[in-house]
Amino acid sequence: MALSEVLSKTYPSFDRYLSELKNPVLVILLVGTIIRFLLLPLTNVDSIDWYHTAENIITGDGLYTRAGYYYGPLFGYILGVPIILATILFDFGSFSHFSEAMIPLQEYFTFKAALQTVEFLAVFKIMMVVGDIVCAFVVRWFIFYLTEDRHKSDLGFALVYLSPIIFVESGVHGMFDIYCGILALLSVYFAIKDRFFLCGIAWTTATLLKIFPAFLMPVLVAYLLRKHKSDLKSSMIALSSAILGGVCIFLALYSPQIGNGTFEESWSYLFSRLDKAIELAGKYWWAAIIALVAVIALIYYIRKHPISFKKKIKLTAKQSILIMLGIVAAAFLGLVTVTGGINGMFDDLFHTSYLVGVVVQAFALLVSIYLAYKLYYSKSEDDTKLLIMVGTLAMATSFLWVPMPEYLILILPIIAVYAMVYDRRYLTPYLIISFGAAFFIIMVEGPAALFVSVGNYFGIPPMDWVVSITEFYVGGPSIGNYSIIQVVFCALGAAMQLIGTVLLFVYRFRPYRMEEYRI
Amino acid sequence: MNTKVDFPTIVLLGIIVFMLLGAALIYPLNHNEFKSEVTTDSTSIYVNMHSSILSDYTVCAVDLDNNSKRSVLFYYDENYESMTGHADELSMMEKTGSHLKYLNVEYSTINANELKEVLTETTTAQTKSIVVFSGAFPCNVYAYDGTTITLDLIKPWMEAGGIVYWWSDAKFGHYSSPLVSDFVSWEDKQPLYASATEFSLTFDETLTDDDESSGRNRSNISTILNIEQNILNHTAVKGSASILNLGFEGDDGRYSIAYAKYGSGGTVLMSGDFSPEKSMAKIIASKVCDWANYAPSVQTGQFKGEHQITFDKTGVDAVYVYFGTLTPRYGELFLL
Repeated sequence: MALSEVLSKTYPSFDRYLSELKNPVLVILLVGTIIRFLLLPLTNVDSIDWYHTAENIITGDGLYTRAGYYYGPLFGYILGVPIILATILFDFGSFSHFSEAMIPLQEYFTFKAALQTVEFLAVFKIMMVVGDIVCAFVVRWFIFYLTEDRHKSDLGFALVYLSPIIFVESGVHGMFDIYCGILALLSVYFAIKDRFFLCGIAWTTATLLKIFPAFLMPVLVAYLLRKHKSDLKSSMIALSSAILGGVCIFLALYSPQIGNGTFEESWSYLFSRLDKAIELAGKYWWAAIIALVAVIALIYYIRKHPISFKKKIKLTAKQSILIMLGIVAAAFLGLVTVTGGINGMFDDLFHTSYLVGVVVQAFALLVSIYLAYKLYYSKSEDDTKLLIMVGTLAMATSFLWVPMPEYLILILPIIAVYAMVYDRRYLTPYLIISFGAAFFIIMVEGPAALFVSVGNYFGIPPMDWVVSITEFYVGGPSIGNYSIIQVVFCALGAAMQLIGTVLLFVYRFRPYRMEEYRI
Repeated sequence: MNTKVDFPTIVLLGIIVFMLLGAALIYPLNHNEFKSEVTTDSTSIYVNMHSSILSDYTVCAVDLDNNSKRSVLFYYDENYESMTGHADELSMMEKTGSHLKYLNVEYSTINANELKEVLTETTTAQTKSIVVFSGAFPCNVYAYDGTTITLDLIKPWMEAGGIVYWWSDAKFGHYSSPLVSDFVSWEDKQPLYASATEFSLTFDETLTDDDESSGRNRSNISTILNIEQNILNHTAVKGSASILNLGFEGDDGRYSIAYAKYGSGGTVLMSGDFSPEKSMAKIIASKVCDWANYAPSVQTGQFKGEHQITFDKTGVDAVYVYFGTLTPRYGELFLL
C-alpha cells in the first residue's frame, strides 16, 4: 500500500479523535508544551554559537563585537530579550564550561569541548517555544477565518503544535525558523486583505530573518497587480505602501547596526555564503556551462514541442516517486563527479551543499517569477486559494535539494492552512516533511549527543555512556568526515523531506481522485 | 485603507515590538558593567570586583620575572608574502583583538619596517611582545640563503627578553618571507629555515592536517587561565623539560600551546584551529610568559554585584583578574 494511502486512512481518525476531546486546543497546548519543556535541556552542536551570541549580547557592545554570531540581527534580538531579562531577574550568567569528558568527541563531526549549561539552553530556547505557540494560534485563526469551521482550525492547530520538526527545532535545536513561518503566512494574509503596508512589513521581517521568504516576493507582487488590475493608480499606491512598510521596518530593525558601524558585519552571513558560491562557480565553471546549455536546449525543445502538463503527463504516484528518485540519483552522480569522488563530496559537505544550494536558489528564483506570471494571468476565481498554493510552491522550490531540516519550517504553517482549507491530500507531504526533517536533524549527530549537557552537568544519563554511544555513532567506518551510519540515517531523513517537498508539486498537477479530499 | 486591528495584526505588531525591545535591550539600554580595582596595604592585596550579572571569576596573585608592562604589537605587512594568507591574517588579528579589548590590553599594528626598528632595539625588549599571524618573518629581519642564516634579529631580541607569539597553521619554524613581488612558492624556491631545534622543539613528521587530534591532559595553567585550545594538529610540538605546556598534552607528549624559553624571553606556539584567538588573548593578557612560577595563588567563584577578595602580599608582583568562563567578559592585569 502506498505511503500516501496509509497516511490518508489515518486522517479521518485524527478528526474523530480530536472531535471526541472536550477542549482540544487546551489538550494539544498542554501536551505540546510538556514535550517542549522536556526537550529544553537537550542540546545540539549549534548551541555553542548561541553561547557566543549571548556573551556578545551581555557585553553591551552589540551582536557583532566578537566572532560567533552568524545571522542578521533579528534573531539576536529574539535571543536577547530572555537572556538579558534572565540575567537581571535571576542568578543567571554562567553560560558554558569546558568539559574534559567531551575531548574524545572533538575528533569527530563538529563537537566542541565547551558545553552550554542547562539553564542557558532553557533560557535561550524559550522564545522558540513561544514562537511555536503563536504560530499554532495564527494557523488556527487563519483556517477559521477562511472556513469558519472550528473543527478544522483545531486540527490545523494540532498539526503545527505537534509537528515533530517544529518541536524538535524549538525544544532541542533552538532555531528560529518558526518566526519566518509565521511572518510569511502573515504576509500572505495581509495581501489577501489588501493591507499591503503590513504585508511589506511582514515579508521584509521574514526575509531579514532568513533569505528563503524572498521567493514569495514575485508572487505577492503579481497578486497585488492582479488584484488592482483595472486600476493602475490603486495598484501603484498598494505597491508603494508595501515598499514603504518594508523600508520602514528595515530601517527600524537595522538602526543599531547603522548607528554603530557594524552594518556590513550584519550581512556577512549572507555574503560569506555568496563568496563561497562564487569561488565554487569558478571551480566548476565547466559544469555550469553544461547545465546552461542543457537548460537552453530544454527551453528550445519545449518551445518547439509544447507540452500540456494536464493532458499529456499522467503519472501514478509510484511513477512520480521513481522519476524523483532518478533525478536525485542523477544529481548525486553529478556531484560525485564534480567533487572528485564520494569521499571528496563528503569531505567537504558544506561546500558541496553550497554548490547545490546556490544552483537551486537560482532555479527557485526563476520558478518563482514564472509562478508569479502564471498567477497574474490565471483564470481561477478563487484568488485566496491561488495565492496560498502558488506562494507555497514558490518557497518550496528553494527546498528542492537537501536543505537543513529547520529551513522547511518556513512552509509548514502555510501547507497546514492549505491542507485544512482546500485539499486534505496535502497532509501527506506535511507529515512526511515533519517526521523526515525531525529524524534528519536528530540523526546528524545521533540521539545520544543531544544529552551531552544534561549528562555533563547532572550526570543523567551518565556522561561516559553518552560519550561512548555518540562515539560509536559518529566514529565508525566513514565516508569522508562522516560515519557510514550517520550518512545512511541522514540520507533517509533527507530523502523523506525531499519526497514531502516534491509531493507538494505532484499534488498540484494531479487531479483529485478521491472525492473526500476535496473540501 | 482597511485598518482593522485583527489577530494577525496584533501578532505582527507583537513580533515587531518584541524585536525592537530586543534591539533596545542589547544596544542602548544595556548598561552591564564589569570592572575591578586593586588596592594594597603593608600586608595584603584587596581586589574589589563589580559585575552587573552573575559571573564566574578567576583571580591570580602572581610573582613576575619581569614586572614591566609590555606593549603588544601585531605584525602585518601586505608587501611581504604571508604563509597564512593576508585575508586570513587580518581575520585572525581582528578576532584576537576583539577579545583583547575585553581583557584591557591595548595593541597596535606594525609593518615590516617598524618591526625591524623594534627588533633592533634590544634594550626595550622586555617591554614589548610581538604577535605574528603570518607564519613568516619578513626578510628584512630574518633571512636565509639556503645554507646559512644571513640575517637574524629575532633571537637576540628574544634573548634580551622579547616574547614572540606565533600562531601557526603550518609546521613551526621561523620562515623568511620575501616581498610579495619576489615571491615564487613556499615549497622549494624560497629560503625557508625551521629553527625549532634551537628551542628544544621537535616535530612529529607523521602528523598531517587531516589527523586532527586533541590533547587530553590539561595543564594546570590552562585550567587557571580558562584556555580551551587543545587541538594538536598543524604545528603541534613535542614537549621537553625546557618547554612549558600552556594548553593540553597529547598522548605522544605534544603540547597544544607551548612556551619555549629563549634567553630572558622566548616564543609561544599556538597550534590547531579551535578558537585559538580566545586562548591567545588570555595568554597575552595574563602575561603568563613572565610569571616566575606556575603555581600562583588562585581564587575562583561566582558573584553578582560587588565582591572583594584578599591575598597575602608576600612575593606578589601582579594580580590577574578574569571574569567569564571560556569567553572573556572582563580581564585585567594589575602590576603592583
